[in-house]
Amino acid sequence: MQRFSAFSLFRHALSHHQNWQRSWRNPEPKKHYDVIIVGGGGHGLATAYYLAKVHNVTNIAVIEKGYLGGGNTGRNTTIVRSNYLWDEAAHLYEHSLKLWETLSTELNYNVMFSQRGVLNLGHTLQDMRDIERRVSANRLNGIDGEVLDASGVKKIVPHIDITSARRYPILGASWQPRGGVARHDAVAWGYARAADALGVDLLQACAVTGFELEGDQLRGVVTDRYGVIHAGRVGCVVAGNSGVLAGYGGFELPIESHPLQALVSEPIKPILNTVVMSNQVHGYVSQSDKGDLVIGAGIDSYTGYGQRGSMPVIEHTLAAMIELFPMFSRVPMNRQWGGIVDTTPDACPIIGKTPVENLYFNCGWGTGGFKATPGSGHVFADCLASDEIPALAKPFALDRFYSGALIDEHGAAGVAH
Amino acid sequence: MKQVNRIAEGRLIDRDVPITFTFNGRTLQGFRGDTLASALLANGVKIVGRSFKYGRPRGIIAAGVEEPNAILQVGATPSTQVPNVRATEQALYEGLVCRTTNGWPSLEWDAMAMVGKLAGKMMPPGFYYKTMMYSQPVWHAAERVIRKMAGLGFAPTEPDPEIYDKINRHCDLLIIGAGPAGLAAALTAQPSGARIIIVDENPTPGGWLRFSDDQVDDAPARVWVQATLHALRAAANVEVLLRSTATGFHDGNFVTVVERCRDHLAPTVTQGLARQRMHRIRAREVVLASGAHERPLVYANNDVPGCMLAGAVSVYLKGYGVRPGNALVVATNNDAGYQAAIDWLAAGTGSATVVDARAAPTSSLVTRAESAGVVVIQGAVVVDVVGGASVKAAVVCDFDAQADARLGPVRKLAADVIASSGGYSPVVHLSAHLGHRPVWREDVCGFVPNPITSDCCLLAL
Amino acid sequence: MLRIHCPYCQELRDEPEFHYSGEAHLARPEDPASCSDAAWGAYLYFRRNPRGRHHEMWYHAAGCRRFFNVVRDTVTYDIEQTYAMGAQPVKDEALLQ
Repeated sequence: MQRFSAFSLFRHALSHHQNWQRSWRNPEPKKHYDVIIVGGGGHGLATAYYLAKVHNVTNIAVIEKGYLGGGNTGRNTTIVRSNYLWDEAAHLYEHSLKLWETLSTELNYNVMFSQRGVLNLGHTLQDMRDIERRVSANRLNGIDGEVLDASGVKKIVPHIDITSARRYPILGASWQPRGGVARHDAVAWGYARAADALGVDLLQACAVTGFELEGDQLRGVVTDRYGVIHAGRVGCVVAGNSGVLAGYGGFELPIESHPLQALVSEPIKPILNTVVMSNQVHGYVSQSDKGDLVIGAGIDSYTGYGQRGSMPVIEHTLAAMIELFPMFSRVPMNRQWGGIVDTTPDACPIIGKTPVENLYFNCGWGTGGFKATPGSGHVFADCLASDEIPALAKPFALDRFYSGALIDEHGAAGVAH
Repeated sequence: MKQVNRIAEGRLIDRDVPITFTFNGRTLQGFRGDTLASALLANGVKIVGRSFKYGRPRGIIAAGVEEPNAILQVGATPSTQVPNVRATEQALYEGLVCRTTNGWPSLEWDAMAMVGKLAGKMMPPGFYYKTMMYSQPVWHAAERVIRKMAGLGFAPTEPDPEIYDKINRHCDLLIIGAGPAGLAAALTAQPSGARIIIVDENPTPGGWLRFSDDQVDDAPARVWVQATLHALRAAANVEVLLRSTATGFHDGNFVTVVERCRDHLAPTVTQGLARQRMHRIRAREVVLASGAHERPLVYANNDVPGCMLAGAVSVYLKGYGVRPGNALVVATNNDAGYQAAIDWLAAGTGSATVVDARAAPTSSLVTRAESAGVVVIQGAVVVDVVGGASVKAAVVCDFDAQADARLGPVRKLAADVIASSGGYSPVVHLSAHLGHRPVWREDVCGFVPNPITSDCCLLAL
Repeated sequence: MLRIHCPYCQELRDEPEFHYSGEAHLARPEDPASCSDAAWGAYLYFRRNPRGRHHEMWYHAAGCRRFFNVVRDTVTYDIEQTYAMGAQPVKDEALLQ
């Protein structure tokens, strides 16, 4: 893998940037892989990378029906944090955050992970009690967190109004300094390039249309482009389309696929240097390095695979933004879009085995998948490489929905649910 | 600064009402009916901004919403700031204050331009993925610098004093675009008694007919437009919404339209009245008559101030009475480019040359151009520009269209404006909002909307 | 923004008048106490979530405040039919075109 650096930029400038090595190949598939990963988003590509890098399993393919990172990875609002309430979730997201902190050097690709901190605002006494509880839980788990009062919030966000002139005055916030934002496309491309360099085949514009089953044993996948490709194990990481693939395997999931919308403003000069989230007012905002305000809120209530939602949700979201930052009312919005989020009854993911032998699923991340990209891939690679489900993933088994061992993270999942 | 580029004609401006405005601290003059862009051009302003990354000087290239360069900060007080206003969309009003959004320490002497010239080669697209990653502290330090250089205008820091309005509307027929197609659709549908709403982003209807010398029903096109507007406004079942942009086409023929009620007036005039109104329109049927945007041609340094769209040159000449120079070179691959050259010479002295990539075009427009004194060079293309801060000359070369190859040596043509016409791209944006991808049409050489639902039909140009 | 025909109000109304209420025609087990974990878990949490034709419930919150059923395509968002709570959808081949 040709290394990226300031020096390489200088060297390539001399030949007008015409000689860069392609970031990944476009190979013809083999007849058989040790592992096939269905889904070429951030999670799937991360899984492929860690399988190859950590476990030395390199005879693998990632099969993507569209283009790499074209699903939710290319549509999220890029927030990274690990301040979840329950131990199981906190450990998993913190594992991910630690990987984020060295990801650019690990991949030799600048994923632009900007640790500018994350604020979750409290507007009522109950909000503040919940914040106290969550920050305490975080700190007991070794995760950074502070409870701020209103003046503490104002120090970090000078333009926010903490007076009682607002309908929902700000009483305080939780603050995770190590959280922040990252460049979503860079994560997908960084993992893709590194995985490809380790021998992983990336197969794009190829849809899986079924599973090749022998009894209840998985033997491979059926694709629209290449017919049957055999595999020892198959890991599905397809977010909103998980139910479709589960259908090919003859089982159902406790997942509902909802539209999740987001929007960005036109680029403006720096005005917001952190991430501001408010469950109560129901919206969250940060500012990208290009200057866009990146704005998000909750899912559309109906299920939908259209990668779009309804206008009233956008109107509610922007009403929340104006409530938090009245001065943004004259900033023009540039673009809005939607993704398909796989929500579960407890707002926690599903990782591990399925009723079909050799078929593994990693899904149900709902509205909180982006922050988990490295951790999810790392843990899922563990699942696919060994016979044991790793400790971090065990609590998120599919059968918790039969045993009742749900882990309710709706509060910490935050606004977007 | 005098209005050095103002000429006699100008259908949209009223010379009896002069307007004073401020651009980067300089006091300039225009007329009622001007856009900020036409007024700046009239005053001989060439540079209206600097490119995002390399700090290259940029000038006005278009006359409408497709303008990419003239992005200005408008507003006289901290609370009435509007970031990222396209000068082509902003009507000029008395006392308007505007500033360019980048260029430091000044627009004329920009430090980033130096960086761009020296280190630009090291900053290709996506360069930031390839560096600044030695460690998190190194990245955070670099990020602080990058963030300062990014962004165009700036958000206000005071609460907004204006009122905004929302209204729910229902109609049988929503027509998006009041150019010839949209107006004709409204005229045809009106007698049925259907409730009709027709919207257009411009302050006056007619689309490209406003600047055309064509005849409709044996009268100048403008006369037809005025008569049609009069007839539609007189009809009880038709509403005409001008200065209104359809921003979103949603499920169930639900269309959001933003009406700019007061942005063409000075803020002091607008107190107590809604500045903008959002129409949330549910239509039984929708007609998309949103027209087309001209495509520029590609040649080296085609972003130097003075490079413009050919159609825009005609609009400035005939619509606003502005001729931004003396020597025009038109680069074209179709007939439409010739009109700009004809209009240029009709507006006064100077020279106009058409460089046509086609070997032997024969339309009547070519003949008319030649009779008007336009120099026509066929089978040739513009390949480069002489001039850094503004166009000084076009570099031209013979061209074999079949072989797609340059022939022979280059030569220079003196020019202060290079207008290009690469054909027209239909405006398909709204039709794609429901996820339907546009389809390629070879005969139009462009993308056209995919047929959507039976409730929405589409009109050609 | 969807437009939904409330079968009680007999009118097309805008989406914000309604509240989405999940998958329709779920059979609540007669005797939850005698359900296996698998059966009870399936009823509580597992859903068809089809990419395509979906039977779902909506509640007319700002209108008649009654629940009803909808058949809607989850990709195109086209609504095929709406019908009263407790009724069955019309199995009309023409409708399914």
